[in-house]
Formats: sequence, structure tokens, C-alpha cells
Amino acid sequence: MVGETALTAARFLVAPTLDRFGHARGWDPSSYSIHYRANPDVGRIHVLLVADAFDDQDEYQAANEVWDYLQRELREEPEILKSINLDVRGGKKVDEGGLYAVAPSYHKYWRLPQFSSEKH
Amino acid sequence: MAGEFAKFNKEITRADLDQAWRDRLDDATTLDVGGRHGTAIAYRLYALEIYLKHRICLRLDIPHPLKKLEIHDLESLLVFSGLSAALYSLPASHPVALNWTRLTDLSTRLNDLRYMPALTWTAAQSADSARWLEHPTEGVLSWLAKQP
Repeated sequence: MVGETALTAARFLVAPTLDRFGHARGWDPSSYSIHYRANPDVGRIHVLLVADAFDDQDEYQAANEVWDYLQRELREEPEILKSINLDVRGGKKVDEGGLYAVAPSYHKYWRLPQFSSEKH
Repeated sequence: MAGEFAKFNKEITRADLDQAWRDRLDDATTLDVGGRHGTAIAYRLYALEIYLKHRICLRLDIPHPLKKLEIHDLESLLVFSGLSAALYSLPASHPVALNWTRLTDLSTRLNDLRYMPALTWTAAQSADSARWLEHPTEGVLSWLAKQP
């Protein structure tokens, strides 16, 4: 259980890994966003990947692809992997709001401009 | 003081909780018929919270809920229900795990459900919240109910 380090792990490990996922897909940085929050009391990390590419994709298939990537990239961090609560959402759904709005409890992951232009 | 820590809320029984979560689901259906989808979504969250409190009573074999567990944090209630290890053993991309994440995230937005106008929430969105909770194979409540 990640406990008190949950938010740090979300911010500095899981969110950047999701950013690399988007980059590896060739997505335009403006077409996706990453959101994270933590519940350190129970050691859970919540991450939400919002992407225009998910608008026309089955949500469970999209989640499987993201999870496969996280498992590969974070294989050296099994405790972190076990602590992840994942969600994926299309950009149009988020724009619709209501049930699909990003919860204010999430922090948005801000990329550094030079990082966004790097090739991975 | 040990007695205070394990104090029961004797105004509510385990049987009350078992009936109440079912009633809140029925309430949600009725609210949907009346076009009050935001409140219907909120009532589904209440149903999940009450169900977890019922499971805690079952797990501890106690006749009343504990005063100390009069909380609304679904993730903490899941821990006390004894079902967290089973749920978190699912891959994070499993439909039940995804839907649990969505419901716990939504539970942080109860103020939106209370204070935003009714038109914020659509029938389709309410149907989605019902699917997250009650779908026979993907729904969180359906899955929890199958766990010993």
C-alpha cells in the first residue's frame, strides 16, 4: 500500500507514464489530458486519462490498452500498480459535463513544454 | 475509551440497512421517471454507501451499525466491509474496477448533485450511473453482492 506517498506517486510516476502513452500514440498534446488524485488514508491513486481518441472507442477496450501500457512501464513498481484506480473518458463526454465532468478533487497534470515535444 | 469506540447506533438495525439500500435504488428509478436524474444519481450513491454499511454489519456480525462508521467515504467503507482486497485484486481495467473508480469519484461530487440545476444531468447519464452500479456483470453492487 502506498499510503502517504500516494499523491507523490500519482504526480511524478503514474501521470507522466500516461503522458508517455499519449505521446507514443502520436496524439496531439492538446487532444488529451491527465488528471490524478489520491486517497492516502486507504493508499489509493486515482488517475483519469481524457482523450479525444477515446470518443469513438469502446471504453473497456481503451482502458485495457492503457492498463497494459501502465503494467509494462511500471513493472518495477508493483506496489504502485496495485494501488491504481484507473478511468478513461472521451473528450466529448467530458465536454458534455454532468456525470462525465472531471471531479474537482482531481489535479490536472501539467506537462513541461520541452517534455511534450520529446520523442520517446 | 473502548466502549465509545465500538458504540452502536441502536436507532438503525442491520435489517433496516438491508432494506434501505434496496429502497434507495427504487427511489432512484422513481426519480428518473419524474425527470429528476441528478437526484436519482445521488440516490444510487446512497444505495452503495448503505449497502457497504450493511456488509460491515454482516462481516462483524453485529445487529446495528457502528457510530464510528457513520462516514460517507466509500473507499474507507469498502475497507471496513472486508471486500477491498477482493475488489483491488481485479485488474484496474476490469469493468467492475473502472465502475468503482467512477462511483467513488462521483461521490466526491455530491455537492454538485445537490446544488446544480436538474438540467445538468440527463436521462442517459443517469442510465450510465445505474449501469455502473447494477449491471449484472459490470456493476459494482452486483459484483459486491456476489462476494462471500
